[in-house]
Amino acid sequence: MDNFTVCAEISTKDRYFTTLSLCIQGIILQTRPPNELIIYDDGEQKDLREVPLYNKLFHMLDRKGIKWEVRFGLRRGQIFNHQNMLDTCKSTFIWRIDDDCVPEPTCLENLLSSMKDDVGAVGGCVLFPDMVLSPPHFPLIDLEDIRFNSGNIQWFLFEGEKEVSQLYSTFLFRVKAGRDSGGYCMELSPCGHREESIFSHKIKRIGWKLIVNPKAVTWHYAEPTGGIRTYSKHPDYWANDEQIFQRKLSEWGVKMNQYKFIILDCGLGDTLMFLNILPEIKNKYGKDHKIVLAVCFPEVFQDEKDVTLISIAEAKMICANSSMDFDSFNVYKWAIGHGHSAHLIEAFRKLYL
Amino acid sequence: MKKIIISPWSKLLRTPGKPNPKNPPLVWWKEVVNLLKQKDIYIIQIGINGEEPIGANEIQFNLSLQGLKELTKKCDTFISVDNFFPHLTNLVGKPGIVVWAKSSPKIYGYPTNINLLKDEKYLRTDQFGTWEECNYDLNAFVEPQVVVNSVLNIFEK
Repeated sequence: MDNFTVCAEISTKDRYFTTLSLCIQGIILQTRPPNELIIYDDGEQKDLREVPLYNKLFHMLDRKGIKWEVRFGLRRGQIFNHQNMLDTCKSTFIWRIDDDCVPEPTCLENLLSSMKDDVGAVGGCVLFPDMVLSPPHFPLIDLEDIRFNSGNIQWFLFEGEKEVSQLYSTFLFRVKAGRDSGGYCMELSPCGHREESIFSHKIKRIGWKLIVNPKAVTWHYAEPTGGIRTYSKHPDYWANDEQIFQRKLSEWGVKMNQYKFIILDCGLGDTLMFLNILPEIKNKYGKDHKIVLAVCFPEVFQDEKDVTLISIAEAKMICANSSMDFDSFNVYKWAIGHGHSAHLIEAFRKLYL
Repeated sequence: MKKIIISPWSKLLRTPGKPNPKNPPLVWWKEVVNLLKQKDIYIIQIGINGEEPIGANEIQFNLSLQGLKELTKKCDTFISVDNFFPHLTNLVGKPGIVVWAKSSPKIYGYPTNINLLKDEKYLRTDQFGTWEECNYDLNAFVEPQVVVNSVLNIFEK
């Protein structure tokens, strides 16, 4: 791969003095710096050259030979900025980075190392500083499972490259592939929930591979203010975008896998009691559902076939990233809430069957 | 010689020093063991490291679930408090004796076992609550001789 150029893109909103500067600094310190950085400002739209911190950062960009530009966005949400970047970019690749993400110095170098001729986009691990997890025991690669688990292998540290069906958050992509795919989904709300999943999967659908290289690490500071968190008080935006995403999945012919999700965050005795109804659960759900058990005592199920065992921590993550309430799986809370007075096995039966 | 397993202790509570209301006192268990030994019964205590020995002929701590299942199959019956073990023996298909105090055998027990509940008046009102909030009551347990008689009844069948 010769004679290519990379343009880094940050779409930002109201994060001047929280994480934006860290993100820019992360770009400056890349072992293989991008050729250019374009910042889309959907926030106050200050002249950042007059802000001492940014004045210094811009000088650092100059020193590193990274051309830079700040564009005032339309304040209609990040998708308009991403699409404008795609429409106007003169580089071979766009490296899009969220404004609360900080790339490791080797991030871009590693992303580029995976950008083979048949690859349309490459993502890396996008990790939370306070929660680095090993890969879970449930599938994360296929869109068929995304409703259950959000499908983000990028949240975990793992070994070796993986080909995936969609990318999340920050990634490097081929401008030609992005344009040929039809670009971003402009129907989405200003928060742009699922925008990167839709965009990256469209690239895959026209024949390009999507790769995750775990050596390319970006730290997600998950800044609670600014960015898309500005729209936290608009659940309708998220619901609208999810509805559009589901419609897209349907148009693409993606048939969602059905899950029977069970959380046994309880003692060994309770877990053994649950075993009494597992055959009934398999009988009822086993044919058309994947049965996923989150357990504290996996050894109880070592002889069980056709069930996927995950940890309680994984279950909490799945619940946090879906509409499921972790506590609603607690058989004791269920028993108290329903005035249950019969056997606990019967409570399990009523809760899960 | 008949062999029985005893699982005498339910887990420690989070409050340091607070006894688990499911557990009879050590002296109670020692009496049960002495009476059983007088009947020439071989006793194997199971549990985990650090738990109080009750004077059994043999101690098997920290067995795996598979190891416990195999041991259960080799023994004639078991005695246990309301802990994980009766649920395991139920899956193995080995009937035994469960000593109850404040939890209800109707909610947590199995009819295939001999469920020794002294009196329903000792049952806690909040059967699904945490054990931290439940007071210990020494009077809630049957006499040791009742347990031994139940063992003998099982052997006579």
